[in-house]
Amino acid sequence: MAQKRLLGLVAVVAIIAAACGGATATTAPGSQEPGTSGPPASGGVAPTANTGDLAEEQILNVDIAGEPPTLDPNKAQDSNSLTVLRALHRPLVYIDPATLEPVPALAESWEISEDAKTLTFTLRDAQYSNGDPIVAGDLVYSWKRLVDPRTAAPYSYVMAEVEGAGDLLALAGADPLPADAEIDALLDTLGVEAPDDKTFIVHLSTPATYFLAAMTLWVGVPIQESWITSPDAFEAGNYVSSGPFQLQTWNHNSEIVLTPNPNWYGETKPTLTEIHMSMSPEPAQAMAAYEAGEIDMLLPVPSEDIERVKADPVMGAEYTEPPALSITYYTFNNGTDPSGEGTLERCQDPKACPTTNKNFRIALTQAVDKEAFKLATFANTGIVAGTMIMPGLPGATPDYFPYQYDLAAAQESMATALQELGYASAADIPPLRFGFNTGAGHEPRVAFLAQAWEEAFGLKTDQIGSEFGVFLTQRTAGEYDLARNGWGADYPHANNQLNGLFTCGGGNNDDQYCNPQVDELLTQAASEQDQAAQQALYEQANKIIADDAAALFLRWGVNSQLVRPYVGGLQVTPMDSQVPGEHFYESIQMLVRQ
Amino acid sequence: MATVTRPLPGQVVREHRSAGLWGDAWGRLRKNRLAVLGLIMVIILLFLGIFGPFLAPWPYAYQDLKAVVAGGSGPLPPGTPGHPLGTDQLGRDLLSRLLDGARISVSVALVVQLVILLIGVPIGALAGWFSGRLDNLLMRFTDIIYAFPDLLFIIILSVVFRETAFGRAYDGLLMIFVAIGLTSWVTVSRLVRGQLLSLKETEFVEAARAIGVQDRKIITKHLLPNGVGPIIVAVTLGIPGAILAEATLSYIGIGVQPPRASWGSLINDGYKYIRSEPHLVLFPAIAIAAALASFTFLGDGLRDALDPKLKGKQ
Amino acid sequence: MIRYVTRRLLWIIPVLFAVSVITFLLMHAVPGGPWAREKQLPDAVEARLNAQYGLDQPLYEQYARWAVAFATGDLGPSYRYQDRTVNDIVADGFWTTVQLGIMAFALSVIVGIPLGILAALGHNRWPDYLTTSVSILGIATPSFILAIMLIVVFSVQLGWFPTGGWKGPEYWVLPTIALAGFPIAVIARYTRASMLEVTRKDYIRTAHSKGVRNQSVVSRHMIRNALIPVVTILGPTLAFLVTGSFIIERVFNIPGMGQFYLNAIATRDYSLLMAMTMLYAFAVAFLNVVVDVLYAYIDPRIRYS
Repeated sequence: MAQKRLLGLVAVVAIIAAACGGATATTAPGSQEPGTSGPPASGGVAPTANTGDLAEEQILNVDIAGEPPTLDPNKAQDSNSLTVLRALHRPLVYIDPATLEPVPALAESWEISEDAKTLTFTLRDAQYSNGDPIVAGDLVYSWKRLVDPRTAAPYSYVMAEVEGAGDLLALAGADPLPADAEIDALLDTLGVEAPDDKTFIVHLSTPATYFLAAMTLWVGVPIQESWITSPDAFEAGNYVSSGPFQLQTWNHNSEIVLTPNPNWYGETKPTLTEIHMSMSPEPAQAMAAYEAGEIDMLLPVPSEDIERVKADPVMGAEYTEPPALSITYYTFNNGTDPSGEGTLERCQDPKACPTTNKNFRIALTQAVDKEAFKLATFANTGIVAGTMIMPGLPGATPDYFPYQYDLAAAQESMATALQELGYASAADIPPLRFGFNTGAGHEPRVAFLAQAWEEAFGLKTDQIGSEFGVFLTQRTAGEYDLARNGWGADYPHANNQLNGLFTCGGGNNDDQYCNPQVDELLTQAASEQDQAAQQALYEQANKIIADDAAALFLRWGVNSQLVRPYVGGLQVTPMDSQVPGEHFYESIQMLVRQ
Repeated sequence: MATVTRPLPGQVVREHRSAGLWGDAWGRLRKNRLAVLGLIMVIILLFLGIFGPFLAPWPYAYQDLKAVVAGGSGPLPPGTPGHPLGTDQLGRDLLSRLLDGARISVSVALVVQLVILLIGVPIGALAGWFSGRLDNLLMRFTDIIYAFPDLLFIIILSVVFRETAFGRAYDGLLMIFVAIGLTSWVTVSRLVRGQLLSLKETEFVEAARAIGVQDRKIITKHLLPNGVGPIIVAVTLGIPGAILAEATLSYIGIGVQPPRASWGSLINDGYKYIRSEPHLVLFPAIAIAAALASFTFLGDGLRDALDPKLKGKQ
Repeated sequence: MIRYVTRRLLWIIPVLFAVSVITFLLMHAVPGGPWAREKQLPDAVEARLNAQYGLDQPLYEQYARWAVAFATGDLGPSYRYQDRTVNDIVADGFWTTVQLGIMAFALSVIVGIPLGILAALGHNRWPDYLTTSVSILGIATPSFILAIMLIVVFSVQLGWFPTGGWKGPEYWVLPTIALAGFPIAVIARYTRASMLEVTRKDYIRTAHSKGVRNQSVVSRHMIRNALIPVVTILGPTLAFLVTGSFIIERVFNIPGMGQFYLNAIATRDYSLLMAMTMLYAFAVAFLNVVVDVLYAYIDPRIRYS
């Protein structure tokens, strides 16, 4: 039996590795090649690491975009928080830098039951920064706290498949909340247990093949109850961490200083003695800080500076564009009511919402030259996209472009659409409501698309820029015909890119899209054990969404970053967002400057 | 009061008739070279505001993407064939957008100041003249207006009225003018009040009162013309402030909607390119500075010209 | 005079009350709430958060709760920075912002007033033109443009000052200059204008004709009286500076309060917004009292009944 399970695991690993390897030109980051950093890698390729002699001073200076709203692992969601949390905590399983699949971290091994509904983890010997041992009971506490309605954790939904979690998650919206005793009783029924200090067992209510990937998130790390319930738990002197670094200083809104955790259990002990994180809300100042030598790495490089940076003799060699698990896509209003049932009220008459017509959406897609779009509005960075799932993830179909840029075909599609809608010409259509949030650099992109459609069809657009809060409300309510959108993967699995975004009534479904076929495929994939079959299901769903022209997929993102040649040991991953190599701070080393 | 100067023997005395406050003022203004320059510049600005868009080589929203792609991504520099002042990253001609922006900036400036004067002057005058209770009440009222967050108020106003006729008027700009004006009149009112407070006690006012001239006449015929200097300065200084306020608002989504561009929003857009393509910021900034300069020179000249001490002098 | 000042100070209380009510209502009238994120929160979580923070209660109840807490000095929890209270946040940033504001104010007065006087004295000659040009540039240049230009020249290229932060005197220089740019220009203009007014006043001519030496005419009569409209401007200028120019703090990465203000509006952090608005309102109201007292001091002809 055990051997079968082990073989199954190996097969899983092999298949995923093969799938990843074949998908894109992603060279393994972190590969040590002799000599100093090579020529700048082109878009979508990870950089080769710098090598050299170790410097005497091992202090890294980096920059995040603002004050982390919280450093509570259960409650964090902001990328500023996450960048810091990745140094302070590690979960049971963590991502492999090269393949992104889950590999042992706090758990030194695990077993998955036949029916894939029970996961049993064996913890290694480990201690917190305060010397206390990390025990399975701390994991139970942390997971209970995550789904506890009183915590109101934004990412509690990732635990939805755990037995008993469903009831708790639904309870969160109850007003008033039931009594504490009742909630505690419910928490006791949660499908997590710690029979002894070194064993942690999770019971799922349905098989969820992506669950292991979701466990690499920061939300399920072990937490000591005595720590987190103490006053001022998150201030520098009191913070208890389980990862490679600990919180030395937190000058709010100004800087964070991390120092190595002497009790870190991982194999790679930090070489750095200090990580200095300054907080720069203004990208131009962060850029200046890099140029002045105040910080050693910069991510992202402001797109307006990219041309200048590439042309610079020094910075040009330090600049790279490794792939990121993000996508720029603009949503059409497909007409379904946000609840998932029925038609949106204002779109009862299709003429009022032309984007509910499939041919209309196809026509709009075919009229956009995505390469020119990328060039003009993204400083020519990124990879042109035709579907949702990012390259590198199983389920991605990066070469699938059902509706290529083709003006003749666009005219045909539009002619059909006009007929179906009952308009004589596109110029008769009242201006499309195109929503976006201001102050985030989206104006040129919106303007580009509006002009493309006007030139192709004489179609008019109302470019409605709003303040962010107002924009979000309008978009969710389906007030726009088109809206600017974007997504970055929370965890590296296809489920995270489709579920909730393209499922009927999904929480992040901003295109009012509903195709029961897609929902069906995703549910199937969630319980499909066979990796190849699972991947095929995701690919199918991915393609259907693109065939329906549910949204205008434009560009998969890359991380435009600058790294000084004296920063070595970087392990860059597509999940990085604020600091290159932020998933593996422990391997970073400062090299002698030349 | 006319001053009588005894002519020297042999000196020809030319009889000079005063042409009235405004006539004299005009005469003085004409002699002030800087003021005349300012006046000319203001006239040019108004001309551009009205006719500018017709003179533009390209439609302001047109994206010359072929040129951008040929140039290898990024804004095109000044001197590119067909684009004398360069373009932004979408290939939109900067000169054409500046000309369209002139129209917007001129209207923002003038309408906002009008709103400010219509509200601020009466309130300040009432407070300064009547003092006591009314002054107290009005000043507390201005404290409240001044103290609460303009931005919040403007966001609300724009959201509430966005779908109405008022909100749609003139591409949404009418609402912005009113909103900016409503939140900016306090300074002028305090100025007017300050002027009246001190001028009220001067001798000639006492004299006028002693003769029995009505309060209203004293205010309009004596105090306002005398006190109008700092108000004119306030108005001229308020104009670029209104233009920049409009830029801030379009930054957060209220104000001129893209693809239209005012000078302020052009500066905001170009700010990110300041290191690599400074022309995107430079030219709109020059435009704003020129507008400010012209209103300043003119304003200074007007203040000098209207100085009642010089009445009767040419 | 004492009675007048006391009365004015007491008036601040109803003013603050009115400001708080208006702000509270405005805040809740804008669509969107504190939990709006690009990645939507699950409805249940959002409902739970609303309940926790009392946002599901009727408005007057919420306001009453806030007012009572405020009166006891409890500014409430921050909605966005969930582990911290507004008291903490304000305490962290308050003195930094005040320091920056005072330094910028000092600089604007030290540079602005003499510049204005110089211009007035050299009316229609080169000092006047120079000052006018400088003040035009100062007003027409948005502060963030000035800030980034200072950074590029003095930090990146010359390396004299750091690009951002607030860890010592060398960090103070560039932000102070950037923040003072606009006020210097405005103060110079007002000083010049009011000096020119005053040169033409009768009592100056009287002094001249009496043979009083030019210099003492300038120093005693002119400056004192010319300061009246300038004092009007100083009040709002100081209020503006002290409560934080969020742009400068943002660009230079300074951990003050100003950074929080626009963010608080955007993220609908209700408690932070209320607290900052009240602080701002208090500063303005208080400074207006100071301004009026200064009026009386400078111009003895003004009497307050």
